[in-house]
Amino acid sequence: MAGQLGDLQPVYVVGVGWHRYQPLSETSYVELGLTAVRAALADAGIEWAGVDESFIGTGLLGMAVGRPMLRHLGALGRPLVHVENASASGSAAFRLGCVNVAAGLSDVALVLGVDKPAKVYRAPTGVPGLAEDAIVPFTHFSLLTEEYVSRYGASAEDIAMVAVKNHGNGARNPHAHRQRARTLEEVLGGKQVAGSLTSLQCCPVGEGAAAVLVASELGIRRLGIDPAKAVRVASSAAVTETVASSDQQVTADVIGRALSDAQVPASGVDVFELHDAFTIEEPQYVEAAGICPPGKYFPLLKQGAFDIGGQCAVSPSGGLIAMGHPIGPTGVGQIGELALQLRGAAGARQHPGARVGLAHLVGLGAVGYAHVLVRP
Amino acid sequence: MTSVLDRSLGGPPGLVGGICGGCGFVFLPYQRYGCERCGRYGDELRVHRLAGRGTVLAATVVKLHADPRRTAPFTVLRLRLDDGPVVRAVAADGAEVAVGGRVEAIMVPIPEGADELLGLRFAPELPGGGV
Repeated sequence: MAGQLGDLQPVYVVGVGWHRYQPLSETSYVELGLTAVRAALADAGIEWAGVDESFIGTGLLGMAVGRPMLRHLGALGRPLVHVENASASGSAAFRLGCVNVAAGLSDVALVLGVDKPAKVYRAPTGVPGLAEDAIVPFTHFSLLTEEYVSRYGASAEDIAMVAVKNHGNGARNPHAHRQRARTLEEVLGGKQVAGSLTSLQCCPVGEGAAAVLVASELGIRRLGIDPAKAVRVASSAAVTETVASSDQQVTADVIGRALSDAQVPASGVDVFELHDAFTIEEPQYVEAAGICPPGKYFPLLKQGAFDIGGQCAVSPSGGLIAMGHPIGPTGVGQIGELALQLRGAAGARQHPGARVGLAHLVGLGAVGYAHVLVRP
Repeated sequence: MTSVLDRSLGGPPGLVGGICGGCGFVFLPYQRYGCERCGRYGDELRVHRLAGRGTVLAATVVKLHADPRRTAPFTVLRLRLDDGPVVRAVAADGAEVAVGGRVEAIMVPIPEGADELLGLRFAPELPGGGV
């Protein structure tokens, strides 16, 4: 039987920082990454010398990008590893950082996600497909949209309301790629992509960086970190798809494990950051998580249940649709958002009384990650 | 590499899939790397010809597509082949396809030198086609 994070010593998120997610620019990835790391160090109130090792989630930058960036923080000489797991690269890096700290190999670890848009190369497998060149991510999710609609019934307007909510949240987030509230008409009136999907229902893939610092209780005491900054990482779960499963099943499995390990019921989740690369994913994953019964997402959405201040704030950061999806940073940024929400420090997008946060990403493959964070 | 199409018998093109001698799992396309269900590999994975017929699970119209070899709009299907595997494929231009509908593989003319798969489409099954 596999062990759990909770079997090890407690681990906490103690510092968070970003470089805003934004369209591709002349800014180097080094500048993006350093901005986020320095913000996280300042948030935790510690110096770079206090960091024992670093985990860098990146999907698009290529080989060995870490040291040319981190050397500008001063002497390094400590373990550094790059983590690639498609959309879940940052989530995978976070899990590894948590595990090493919880195991006592480090007292404080940096988890950094950084990326800039680039052409994706995937080596050929030697196995042909029937129409793989015709299937890009939005095609895949448009097919899933059609399946959801034929099973439960939902209108194009219903589905577009997911984007209206998330753009509204992004408008309150200074780190978001898209910071403009949108009306239903604007969302539906955007460029047509596939099926009922329009461009404002698809996540932007831009550049940016997100950093979190994780620490043990020993690290917190030794470096004099303010305990009020510390948010407990209650569980970490990871799974892969099988020939018999799907993105939704991967989500149900990985979130089920994360909630069970954290001993939190789905009804206890206050804030949920999920992989809403496309609108249809939010209803599918909210239902897969057990936060509402299958087919019941849209009636609840219309009642405001998933708004900030509702039953469970879903993607208060703006989610991938508005916060953006720069790949490496995405999973790390979700953790940063949860930490701010659970500290009560999320400003204009604060969900009142947030105590339990859930982060979820699916990476191409598919790999699934879920983490539960709890305010001590 | 084994072709994924079997056009040897005339009529609707068949598909060259595989079957695992260990667990009976049927898959498409054929490969010898290993069974996705039980892990057996090599000679235990045998060629298994599949009828190019199935039932539509989902259909969507693609309105934007970056690859110039496929010109939008076109319709992509998710379908369950009668022999078991669930695959995604492109519908024939102008084909009226709906969830639950029966479809079969057809070949359409393609530019010279293009990948043979670009010529594979699915269209509504002709009456009597399943016999």
